[in-house]
Amino acid sequence: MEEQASGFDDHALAPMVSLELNVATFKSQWQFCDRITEYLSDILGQGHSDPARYSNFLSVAANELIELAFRSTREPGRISFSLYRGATSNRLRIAFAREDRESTGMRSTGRQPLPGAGPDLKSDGTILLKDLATIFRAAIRIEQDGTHGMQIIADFPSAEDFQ
Amino acid sequence: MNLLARPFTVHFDPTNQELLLSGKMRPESANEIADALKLVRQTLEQYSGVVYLNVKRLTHINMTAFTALSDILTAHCRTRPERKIVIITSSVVAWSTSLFQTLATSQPNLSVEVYDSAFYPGQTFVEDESFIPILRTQTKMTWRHERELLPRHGLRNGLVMADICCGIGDFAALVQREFKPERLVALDHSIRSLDYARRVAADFDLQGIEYTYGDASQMLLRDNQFDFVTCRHSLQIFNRPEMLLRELYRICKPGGRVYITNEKNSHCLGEPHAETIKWTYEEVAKLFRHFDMDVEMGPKSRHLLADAGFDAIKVDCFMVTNLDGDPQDFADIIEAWENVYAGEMAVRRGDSVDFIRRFRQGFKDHVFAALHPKGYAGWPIWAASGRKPL
Repeated sequence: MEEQASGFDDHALAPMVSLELNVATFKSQWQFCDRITEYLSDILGQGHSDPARYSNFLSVAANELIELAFRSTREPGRISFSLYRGATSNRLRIAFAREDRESTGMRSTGRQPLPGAGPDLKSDGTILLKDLATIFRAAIRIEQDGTHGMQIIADFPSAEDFQ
Repeated sequence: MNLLARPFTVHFDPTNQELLLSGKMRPESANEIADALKLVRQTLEQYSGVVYLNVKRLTHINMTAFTALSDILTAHCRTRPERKIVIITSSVVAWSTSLFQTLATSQPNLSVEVYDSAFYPGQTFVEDESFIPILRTQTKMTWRHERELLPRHGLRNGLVMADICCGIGDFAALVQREFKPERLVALDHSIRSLDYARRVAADFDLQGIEYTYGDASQMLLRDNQFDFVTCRHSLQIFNRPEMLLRELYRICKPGGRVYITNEKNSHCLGEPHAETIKWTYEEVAKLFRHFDMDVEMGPKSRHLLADAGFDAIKVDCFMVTNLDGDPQDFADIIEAWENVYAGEMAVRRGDSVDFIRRFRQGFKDHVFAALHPKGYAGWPIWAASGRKPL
């Protein structure tokens, strides 16, 4: 994880779309995770040689991270979902306010832990990131975003060859 | 706002000892899929030998569902090491095999098989590259008629469109050029056909067609997004056409239309030698039936569309003939049919040499009729469309 995460190149990414909403709204229905996932995955698929399959492929990983955010956020506050496109990868960034609580295992080695998530996420979170990173050949990290924020960042290779 | 994710289904087929999971499984907690998990658990407990877990039509899953499913499978593998569990994934769903392989790695009595064989019963017969020129000729000949018919069925410039079972993509290319859709997705379950389609599009500098490798019976395309959906000559070679129609209906926008074409092979005709031609094409219909395909489907199109929930159904029938352009084109198609139907399918069915000789004669007579200066040869096709109600 650490090695993959060190490959991030923030400067080569261009913003594509950003969606921001109240955490209260986001958490009002579980199905928002699915709806947001599909919306963002559709956009990620654009430009790929097989948009429908690439979109579906990424949606499984993206959904997991969005569900992770769903379980990790507390009201009040806002949460944003942003997509970026680079020459070799696409990035999903989920940013939300950090709670001043003791932490969780939503960490990738060598990175900051993610305060605010429930204790039940400890083992799942760790396993989750490792599995997702392997299956989707993604680089995933969780880190502080300024003083009071947290962000989940996933970079997916844009040149997936499914054949 | 309806935020319900597309539901999933779990079904057990005792004949094949096969659990089939399909659709989208994204529960918030395992409790939400308790019934499905119970069925999996009960099946594993009640049946011995090999149990198949077919997830080839499972388009989405979250880790909550995957973990719950994995726990049951893993526990069962440990308590019954003699038991074999085979998970069948799809090559279409790109994440599926990798994810389920993580389970197989830790359990020796659990394995993953990737479903990548011909999805349509007839696909193996037409995927051969030698058949491609014939497919192109067929489209060239049907396009003359369909070009005129399609606007009557609702196609006009600037629509969002999908061509399902697009094959080598020649129809999609013609539509792209003639009707300039705002968006055109072309889906097929043959990677080789799609490769060919992409090459042709590139050669002709046709841009904007989104080719996608997919299973027409469980597409990765979203609900309600296309104004016009076409599916030509494919329902008839699909062993469960109602399942495919359900998917066509799903991806079509309310108010949009689904357009299908099918044949009635026994009505292929020609003069001279009408009788031998008639006999051969009646045998063609029986031959396809043997392989679970219905090339007599054309006139059933209205019924099929109505049963699938469409309204404002329109049906047309047109006859491709040897008088449509070069008669040699028609003759080439018939010769290709003879090679596949008599040369491959009849042989595979185990037909006798005498039967095959007689069977071939009808095709030869059809070619003769097509090329005869006073002859007439025809191939009837039904084009039908229905509107998805608003």
